[in-house]
Amino acid sequence: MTTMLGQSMRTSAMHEWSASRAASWLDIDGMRLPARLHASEREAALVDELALCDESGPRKVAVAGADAAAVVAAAGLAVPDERYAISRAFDGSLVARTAPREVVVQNGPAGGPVTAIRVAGHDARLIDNEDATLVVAGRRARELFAQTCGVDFRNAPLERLIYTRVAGVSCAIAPLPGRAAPVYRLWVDYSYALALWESLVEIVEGLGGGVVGVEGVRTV
Amino acid sequence: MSNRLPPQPGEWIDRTRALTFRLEGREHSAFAGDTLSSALAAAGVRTLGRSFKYHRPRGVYSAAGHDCNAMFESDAATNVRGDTTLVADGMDLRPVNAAGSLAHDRLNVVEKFSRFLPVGFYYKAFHTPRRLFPLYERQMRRVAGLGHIKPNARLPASPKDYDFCDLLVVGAGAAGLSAAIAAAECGVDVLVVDQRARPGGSLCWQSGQVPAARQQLAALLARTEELPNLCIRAGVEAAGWYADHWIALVDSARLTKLRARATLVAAGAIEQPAVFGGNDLPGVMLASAAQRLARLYAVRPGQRAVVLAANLDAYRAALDLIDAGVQVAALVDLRFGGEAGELLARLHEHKVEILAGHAVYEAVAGRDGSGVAAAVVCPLGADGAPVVERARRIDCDLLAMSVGWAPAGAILYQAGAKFAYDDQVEQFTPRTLPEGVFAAGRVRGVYDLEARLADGRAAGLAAASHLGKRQGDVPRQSPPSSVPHSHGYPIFAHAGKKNFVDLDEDLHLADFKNAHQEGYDNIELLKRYSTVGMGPSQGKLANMNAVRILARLNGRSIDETGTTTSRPFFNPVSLGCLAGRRFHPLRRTPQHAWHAEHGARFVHAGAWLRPEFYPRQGKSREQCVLDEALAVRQSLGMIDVGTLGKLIVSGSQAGEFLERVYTGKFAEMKPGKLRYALACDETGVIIEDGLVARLDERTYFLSTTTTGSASFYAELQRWAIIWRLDAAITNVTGQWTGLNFAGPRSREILAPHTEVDLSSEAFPFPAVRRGTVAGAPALLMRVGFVGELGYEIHVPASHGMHVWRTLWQAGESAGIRAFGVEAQRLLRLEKGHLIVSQDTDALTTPIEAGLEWALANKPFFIGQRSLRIAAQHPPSRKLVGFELPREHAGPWPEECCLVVDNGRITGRVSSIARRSTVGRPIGLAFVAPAQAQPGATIRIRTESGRMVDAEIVEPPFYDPRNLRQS
Repeated sequence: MTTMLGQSMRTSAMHEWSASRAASWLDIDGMRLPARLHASEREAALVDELALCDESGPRKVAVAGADAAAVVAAAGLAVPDERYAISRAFDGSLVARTAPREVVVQNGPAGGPVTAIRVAGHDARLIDNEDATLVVAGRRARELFAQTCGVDFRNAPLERLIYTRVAGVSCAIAPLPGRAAPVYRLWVDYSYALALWESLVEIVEGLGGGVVGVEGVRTV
Repeated sequence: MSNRLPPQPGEWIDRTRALTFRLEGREHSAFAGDTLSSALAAAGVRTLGRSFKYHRPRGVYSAAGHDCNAMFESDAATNVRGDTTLVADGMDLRPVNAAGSLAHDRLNVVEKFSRFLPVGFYYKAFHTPRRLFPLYERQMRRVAGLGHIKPNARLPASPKDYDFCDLLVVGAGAAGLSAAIAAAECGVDVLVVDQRARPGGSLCWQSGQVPAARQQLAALLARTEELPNLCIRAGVEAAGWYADHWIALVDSARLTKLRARATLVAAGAIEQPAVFGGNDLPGVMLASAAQRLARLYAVRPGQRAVVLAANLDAYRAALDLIDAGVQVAALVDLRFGGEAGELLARLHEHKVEILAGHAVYEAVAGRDGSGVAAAVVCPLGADGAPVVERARRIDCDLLAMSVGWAPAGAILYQAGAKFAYDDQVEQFTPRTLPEGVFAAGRVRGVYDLEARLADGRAAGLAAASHLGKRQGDVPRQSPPSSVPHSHGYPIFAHAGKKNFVDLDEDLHLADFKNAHQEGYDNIELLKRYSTVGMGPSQGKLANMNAVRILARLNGRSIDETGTTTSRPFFNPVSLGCLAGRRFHPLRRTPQHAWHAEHGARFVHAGAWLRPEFYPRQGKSREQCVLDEALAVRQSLGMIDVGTLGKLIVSGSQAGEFLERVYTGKFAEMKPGKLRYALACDETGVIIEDGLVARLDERTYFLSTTTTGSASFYAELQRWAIIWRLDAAITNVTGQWTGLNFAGPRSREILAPHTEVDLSSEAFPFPAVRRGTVAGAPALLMRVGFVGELGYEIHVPASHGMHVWRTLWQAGESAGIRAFGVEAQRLLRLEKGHLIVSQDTDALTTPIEAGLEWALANKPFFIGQRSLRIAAQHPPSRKLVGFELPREHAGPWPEECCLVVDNGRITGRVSSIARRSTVGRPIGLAFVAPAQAQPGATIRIRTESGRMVDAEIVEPPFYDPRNLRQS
């Protein structure tokens, strides 16, 4: 859950990058993340144009096994039937059907359902998912992907997970509906996250966009 | 002298934006939209470059980048092409191939020796004496080539991007735009690319005498803007076609990897030169070049012109020149009949002398040799050869040629289209096209404007039908022109002059005759021997004439002669463009920032960056490594092992799965225990090792080597699919991180930070426990890789930094030191532990590596059958420990140095440490079994060639009874 001064035991892969740049911080599920890197007006403009955000704080788990879907549903979450489909809850939490016997759940920014999932007594196991979460927003987002990824995002359906490579790094990308343009949530292996982040920052800035804090992308 | 004309309708320059640039230190002015060639031509500069071999002066020839006469370099860029590069304010350029200056090139002396430099001379002249070849090579490399690479120049990364469309249309001329509109109107997502700065193709520069053309272009462009599913990208070249409509698009900034569903080529045709004496002089140019200069850039290409004609386009060009203020002295038509009709009448009105059935025999240079001053024209005899005796001279400073066209069919060729020579239009035209590939316009031999528009429309509709966007019949495409637009043999040899065929390579007609006499009578062989078409222009102006010449020399038809193979790229592409932005992702552990903060020197381990060691001021690398190892032996050390492969195998048959994968026994292992695990392939070769810890009845945790984890995971996945056991494998390598907290004081320092009972009784060696460390969920393993009491602690990646910092602070009172990969390698060597892939190779079996103890007696494991067979034969080598004398001072064997016995190679060193905590140099080596007895002496050949004696000892070198683990 989000607190302003929580004790942060968890560290984002991009923490060192953000440390000297963040204007304000907040804690999400025990991870300290930049709340803002610029003034809110500037971040709003970037989010409209092209913005990159480290949103690795909300916890993620994978629930695997024959009862995976039932276990997640028992926690009050809508589990999509179709493989790679995504459902979103009001609190911003997200449920992705990654395989017939696997569901990934990510908390929303204010906490969420991960802690409510119980696997005891079921044919299911809970695997903490430590992938970093990056968010790409703005009307020029597709230009960023055009330079880094071989997927045609013009024709990519929303709320369906795409497994691909971005800037040479394997990712799962969730295109989600946004206020003005789709918002893309990228899940990337923690150990590769900083390398991907550095590549994306360079391109984003070259395209006239920038990095924003978690509060900056909440408006999308 | 300024050749700039008053504003021309449809010109591409912006007269409101004046620019300046420098060439050879001299400042020139230009307008935005000018190319380097047009700006220099406007400034009256005739010599834009020097030729490759003879350093002859060269000027504007195609004004379209179809030649490489105008090539420049700057401090940052090499081979800047004058015809296609727009002037940027402040450019500072030099020619690429002039020794001295463009006006005075010292190396033009080479031409005086040209009779000694025939085609292929370098193949024959520099073989003997062999010892002088390096000298020849150095000189040739110095003289040959165009431009200089600037290794220190740093240009911004050139991005590469991906794009997608239903239909790619190559060429935004009349046919291309018509096709694109027709397809887009059917709902096809169309991308049109054109290598020129603006769409319109020849309608932009060849429309002066076709009143409807400009209106037609405006209407086409207006329609394209109404279609949201039609996008035009000008200044973009379709540079190469690859399978399944993967097309490389190149512009000045980037390479785009386009995936289309269909391709339509309407790239037009490339005007071809005639061959005659001095046909390379500045002032001799293609008529289309003169038209481009005049129409697009408002540059008068000369004062007084002779036009060489073989088609109607030449008549239009002559009228365009008159419109541009050029006095046209004569139109020399290669055809005996010439043209009739309105254009001819208009030329008569302008008192242009029409010389039908004539040819230009020679372009005569002015006194300074810098450009054409006159054309020598001759009537043609009945055999088509010039009647030299009746030659006459016509003064001119411009000789514009319009004698034929060749299809710009590179993309079609690359896509697999088959071309045949059409005798009617005197041009290669596509006869069969692959599925999903379409062609329209001049590339098909269709020249009339109305016919091109109809042809494009029909091709666009055909493409839409192919893409499933349209039903019904497709109209037939226009037939190729019924009259030839090219001359069948525009070659009129001047016996005493060079008649150039390939301007890039300075190849002239005599070179082809010589090559043919030497037996190179096949077009592909001729190309390779003479290098025709192998220069920067890739034969755009040379190949067609080369084919015509060879056909005549062989006495065969052009169809029988054929063409050379077209391969990507259509035009030169910079290496920076091909390289693009560098994406070389490195894996970093969550603790990486701490290591960097503490000055670690990093080393690549597969995709990972790992601390090799932590340098200390005034200490050598070797001493730092030894100090780190001593800290572990004497007190406390901590190493980041987050790079180790980490897998979880779970399910009711997880134990059975591991029994099959590894050589040891795991099914009956109690939860909380861990064991060394060794895996082989089917041939019994070691492929991986690590630890297997049983977490509960259904779950095992596996650690693997850093560099082998990805391939081992893939291998396990493969077996899981084959065996169909209830065993799911999860790769948590990046999800979890790890550290090894090792040394005699590790237990006491760790204890306050975990609720796990660390006593030997509760947590013996080797074992695994689950709990928390510094508040983070953790897996603790008692391991002995470095030979000391120690705990390998695995935590979720995001907790890694917190746990590392907490334990670091806790260990400061005990003098904790971080140790890197090198110290770890030393410590494990002292314990005699091998590293898979360092102390094993692609043939090493457990029997050779001394790991027979790890082969359990059980029904099956991968490689077991092979190992049983291998065990029936004596091994050919054994991995053993060895020591050098304590006082050994060198030379030092290195890893991979050979073990030699009586001149025979019997093995190699796999690991060695000059300094160790046991006080003497130690190592591991493969030796012959007969040499493997402890106490035996082996001889190792060092890199210097000197031999060093070493004594075989039985590892471990340190703590053989594992007393340090308690």
